[in-house]
Amino acid sequence: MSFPNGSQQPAAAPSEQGGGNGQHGFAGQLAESEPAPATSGSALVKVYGSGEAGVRALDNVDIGFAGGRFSAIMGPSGSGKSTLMHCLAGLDTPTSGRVMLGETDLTGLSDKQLTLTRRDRIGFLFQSFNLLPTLTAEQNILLPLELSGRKPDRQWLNELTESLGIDQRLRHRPSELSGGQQQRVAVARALVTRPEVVFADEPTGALDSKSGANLLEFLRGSVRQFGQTVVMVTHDPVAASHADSVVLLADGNIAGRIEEPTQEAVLDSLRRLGG
Amino acid sequence: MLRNTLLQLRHNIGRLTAAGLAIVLGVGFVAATLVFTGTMQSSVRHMVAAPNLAADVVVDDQMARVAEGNENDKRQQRLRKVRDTEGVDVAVPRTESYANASWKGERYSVELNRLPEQQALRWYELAEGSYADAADEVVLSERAADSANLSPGDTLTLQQPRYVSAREEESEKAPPKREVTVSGLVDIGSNVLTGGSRITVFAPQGLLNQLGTTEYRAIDLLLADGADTSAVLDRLRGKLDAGQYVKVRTGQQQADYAVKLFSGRVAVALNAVLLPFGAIALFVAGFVIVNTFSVLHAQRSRQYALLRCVGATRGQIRRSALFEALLVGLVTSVIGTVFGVLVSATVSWPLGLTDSPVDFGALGITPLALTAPVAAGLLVTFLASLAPAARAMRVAPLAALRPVPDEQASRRIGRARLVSAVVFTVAGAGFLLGGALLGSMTMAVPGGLLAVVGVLLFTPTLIPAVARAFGYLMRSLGPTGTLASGNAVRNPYRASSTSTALMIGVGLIVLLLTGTASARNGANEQIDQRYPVDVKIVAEERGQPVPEGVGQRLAALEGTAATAALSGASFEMERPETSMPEGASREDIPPATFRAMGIAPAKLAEVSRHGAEKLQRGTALVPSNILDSWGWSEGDRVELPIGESSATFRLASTDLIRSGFLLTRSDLAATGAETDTTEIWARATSDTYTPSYTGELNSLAEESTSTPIDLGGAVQKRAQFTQVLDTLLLIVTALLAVAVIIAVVGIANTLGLSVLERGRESALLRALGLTRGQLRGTLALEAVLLAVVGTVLGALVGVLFAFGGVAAMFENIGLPVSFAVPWARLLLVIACAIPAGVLASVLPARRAAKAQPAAALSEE
Repeated sequence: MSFPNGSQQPAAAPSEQGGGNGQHGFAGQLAESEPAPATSGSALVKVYGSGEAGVRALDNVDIGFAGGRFSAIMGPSGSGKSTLMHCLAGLDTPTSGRVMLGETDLTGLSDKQLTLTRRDRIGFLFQSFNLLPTLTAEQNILLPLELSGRKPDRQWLNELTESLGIDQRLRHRPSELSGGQQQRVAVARALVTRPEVVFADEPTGALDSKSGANLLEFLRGSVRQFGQTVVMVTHDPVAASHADSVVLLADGNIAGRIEEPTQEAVLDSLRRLGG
Repeated sequence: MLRNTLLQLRHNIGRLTAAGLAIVLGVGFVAATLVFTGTMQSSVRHMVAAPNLAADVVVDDQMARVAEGNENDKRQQRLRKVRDTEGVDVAVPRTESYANASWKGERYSVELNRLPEQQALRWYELAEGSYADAADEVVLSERAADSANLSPGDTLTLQQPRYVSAREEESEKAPPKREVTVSGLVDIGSNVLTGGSRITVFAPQGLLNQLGTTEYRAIDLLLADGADTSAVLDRLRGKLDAGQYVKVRTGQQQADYAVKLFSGRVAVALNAVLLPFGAIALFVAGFVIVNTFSVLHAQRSRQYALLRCVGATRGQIRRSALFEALLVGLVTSVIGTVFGVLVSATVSWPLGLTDSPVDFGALGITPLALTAPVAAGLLVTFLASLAPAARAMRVAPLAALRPVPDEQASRRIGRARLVSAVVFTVAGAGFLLGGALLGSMTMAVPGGLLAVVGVLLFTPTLIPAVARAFGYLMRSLGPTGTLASGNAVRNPYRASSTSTALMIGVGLIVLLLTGTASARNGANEQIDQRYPVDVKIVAEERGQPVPEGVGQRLAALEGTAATAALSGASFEMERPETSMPEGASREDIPPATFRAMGIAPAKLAEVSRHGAEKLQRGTALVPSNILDSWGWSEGDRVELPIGESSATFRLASTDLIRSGFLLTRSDLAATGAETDTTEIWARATSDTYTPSYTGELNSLAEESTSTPIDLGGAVQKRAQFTQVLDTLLLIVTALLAVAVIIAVVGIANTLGLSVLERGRESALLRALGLTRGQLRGTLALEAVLLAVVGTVLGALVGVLFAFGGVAAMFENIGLPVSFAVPWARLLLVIACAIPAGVLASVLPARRAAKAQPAAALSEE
């Protein structure tokens, strides 16, 4: 599995607009050299339940992820990392606060607008159950395009499937594919629309270590070559070490940030959080 | 284990709603049928018994109904003998006859009964007005009079119909007519089903005499004070030579006898007609139950596996599953029975069986009516849950340890099942075809049933295959179509039992539609054969001229193609010696009165469908029954004494007329007889029943009040036949609709359960950008696909079976096979599948669309 060396640049190049910069609370936390954020949240609060039994999954979180970077969100179970991703990706709505995708404020959108935004501008990867069992691999990959009625870019599709090594499996149904192959089909689907951001929720969780490493390399390659923006939630330090930067979350708050992480650095910070 | 079962049941109660609804509907149908027929029975019993209970003794005179030459005298003799018997105070013949009544321009057929002078013999209660005491007064049955808008003080005209009054010979004279006043209304406790829509006129003896109504079927007796009933009975039996035809019974005995004679048969016949539809409804409900438990157990397979891990035996799992099914069956069957009782109470009220919709006391609720539906519901639930329970039992304990339950592999149809499906279908179809070719119903009916079993065994292969074929069409609708067609056949067994349920209901309806269309077609051919003239208008008083203007107005009607006026003359004719009955002499038999009618052959060709070519100069057309009874044969030359001078005609048989002779107009004129326009014939533009034309004809006849006219001919016959057939079809379709509704509930059920199963899938789709509307659309398409497949297959099977059955039946009764496919109605049935599918998807789709993409995607 190697990343396509195609000459074409994906449409979803890193956001060049700096419009969001400086307007939001997170801006101050970013280094001056950081490019404008592709996705960001400010003063995010998410409460599940109410009253005494209410759980504060996100407690006033300000965060931004730069375009063209491979970022990881880490934290122990219950730290709110999945909730944060769901809110940023428009899968869930925060109790309060604001979510921006590029220049678009997601918090004010209706369900339908959110759906269309996800369809056209965001790619998803999940731990398991990524594919629809009734559709072939190719139908699964093209599903977001079909839903929006767009014509697939055949060349881009071929490059993707060839470099992912699934071009011979396109007519198969998910039940006829291995776990690694299924996850690669899901990657192709996430990238085929040239989304502004790909959100990955424990993408290697259900894979063996070799397939997992291959997948992470591929994601990293897509960032390097095309400037694809990838935000990954994981609890695996090995996975996190593939990212350009790691944001640490604990009890619904940001607990730290590691640039160019190594396995050891990540493990070290996690141990400190746990202790 | 029991506690666990109950907890599971409580946890899953929502998922059982549709299956429960199916059982409630099926059981409710059976219960409603039984209670309704029971109510009918008790109402008929009351109705039949009441007239007899009023009398002390009843002489049941069956002879009175047998028409014989001097029976009238014998009747009077018998009545005198009864009156002269010691201990008899009063003997009143119970006259029960029919009459034509007219008022306010409407004409009705009414029952004409005697109103006894004795209050004790009046078994009804006066509801309004007073009893009649003059010969020009009558009382009427209340309910029917109300519906006919009659009340005391109104006047009506009564006349015996021809067939009652003119027994002996074809008299040309109309029976006497009397104008009478309604003095009061009585409540006879009648209802729609015991002839309550028909008005009963109670007339004093004087009026009956004037109308010429003499017949009776029983004599009601009141005994003198202190008379010994059994002694009187003995005396009467001796005097009357009581035997096979004349019975003497006490009022109570006669009531019991009458009840036995009537009510048992009514209930049995009604049950025999209605209960099979209940069985069909329950059968279809069985499919819904099988589906529900199959899905439920599949969803619980990890729980069952866990139970097996901690030590539950296979038997315990199975017993738990069956117990759950029985519990569900019991609860829903009881609800269904209560529902059925409520339905029959609601239905019985407007029919006049009860006094109000909550008049439960008057309902014929027998122990059987309460237990049989529950037992049937339990049985169906139990049988339907056997296979799912057996599958639940087979779950391996290891399944509990697997991280995620496997996507249920689509089970393939078993070899044994496939072989028997092929054998049954081929053999059944062979027998059906053989029966159709040979005209043997005994071969066609079992053949058809065998083929049905074969096709039903086939459905798990057939239905997914057909659904896939339709699915290709749906792909053109974009991603939602692709998803829907894929989802519909994911589990072939589930899809097939869902669509099969609908296929059964639709198949039966289509079978009936096609059968009745063929019957109508065949009947129209027969009617055309036997009634070559579409419309015949004659004066009600035969031989009288048809009023002026009727011919023109008939010709002016839009559906009339051609009209012809026939001139007619009466003449008397002696029977030839050769055709006299054995031992009869000329003096015994008076000359017969015939009517000769004339029409120009060219005109006849215009107004008749066939047979016109036989009419030529010098020929007299005559119905074949007259040819036979007068000892003539076709081609004979016979002298007919019409007019001043007799003329000789060559005889030819015809279907154009039912009595008399048909000549050419010029031949009739040549006899010099005085003629009138006695009949007008017409040909209609349409060959089939046209409601608007029939309606216009009827109003044309009704408007002619000064000289009442009668309508005859093929148009009338077609209308009568079509209306009867359509009414029957409507009733049977309504009864089958219950099965179809259950099948549609089944679609909603399958969809609802699948939606629960596919919760994460829906969430994934939503995350990837499927809007709520698109998700709902996907489910609607899936439901429509299941519905259309079931309907199309049902229609196909229905038409094929109808063809076999119709062919066999027509061959069997010796008619040319006439098969017609009602295309328009078939298309309507199939078109209905689409809204039905959409409707079935509404609730499941709402549930699916509620799924939050994030919530459903998080790992368990």
